[in-house]
Amino acid sequence: MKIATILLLIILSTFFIAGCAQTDDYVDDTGDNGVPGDLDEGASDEVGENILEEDEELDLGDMIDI
Amino acid sequence: MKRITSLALVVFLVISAVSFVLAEETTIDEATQKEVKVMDYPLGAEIRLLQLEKSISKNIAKGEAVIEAFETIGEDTSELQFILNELKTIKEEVQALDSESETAVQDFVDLKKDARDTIKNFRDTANEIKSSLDDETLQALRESFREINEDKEFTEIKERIRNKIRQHNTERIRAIFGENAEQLKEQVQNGELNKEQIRKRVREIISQMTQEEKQGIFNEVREKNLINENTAKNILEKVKENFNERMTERNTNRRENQKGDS
Repeated sequence: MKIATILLLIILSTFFIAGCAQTDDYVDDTGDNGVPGDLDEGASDEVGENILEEDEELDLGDMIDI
Repeated sequence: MKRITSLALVVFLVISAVSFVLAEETTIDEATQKEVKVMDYPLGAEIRLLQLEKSISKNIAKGEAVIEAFETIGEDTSELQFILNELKTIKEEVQALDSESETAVQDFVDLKKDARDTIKNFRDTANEIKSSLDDETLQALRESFREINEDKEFTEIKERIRNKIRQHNTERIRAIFGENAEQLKEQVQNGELNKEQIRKRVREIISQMTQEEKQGIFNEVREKNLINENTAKNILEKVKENFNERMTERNTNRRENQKGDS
């Protein structure tokens, strides 16, 4: 009986932890509506997001671990 | 009483297991999510498909080196050869894709996942018999991997990617500054600046503008980036639909084609 109760508690707490881990939505609580204090930096960062590096590689993993 | 509790526990466990299986969602790795963001731009999709083709090509070359190493010591490489042929088929499928197609993002995500899975399959199989290779052979393999990573064999595709990236970056600068910032555009087109240097130069140009102009540029680019992000998010949500079914179908087709060829 005790074992069953402990098992039940473990299962329920696993569900609780798994549920908490999924609430990872980003919340913007800075109060600046996304506008940075330094506009020069903010604007260049936004531009930089669309600039690509010439030597960028897509990582597909290794063929063997050596 | 004990029986009822045990029964309730078993029922609960079964329900939990079933709900876990049903709740299992297709996940797309973070790097891929980031990569598809630029696919909304005309050259972005083309660049990503070429990069995927290049990465697969490099892995195929490494796979051939691994097979050769095992063959020299008389290991059976038929399983590795089978997997490598599958990777070659995926490469052909990538080459046949149309970057302007409506399904370009979905195709990219699907085939990248297939390539990663196939490479993992090859790696696991190769790792199982890896202990049969002596230190000298392993060192020679590392050396040939290093040479492959230096891109010497892939100059043509590397050049194509580089030119398209330069063109894409120049277009991004043009989209912000229009006909101004000619020198920066020229430097970007000639590949004289890396990403961080471009960002710095953009910052310098913006710092000389009025507060209103700065705000205008920030708003414009931010809005476009948010639209791109949302578009990518929506497409990825759509890609997740029937993801596993599509994957199973592709794998079945490839295996059947391989059987037909042999």
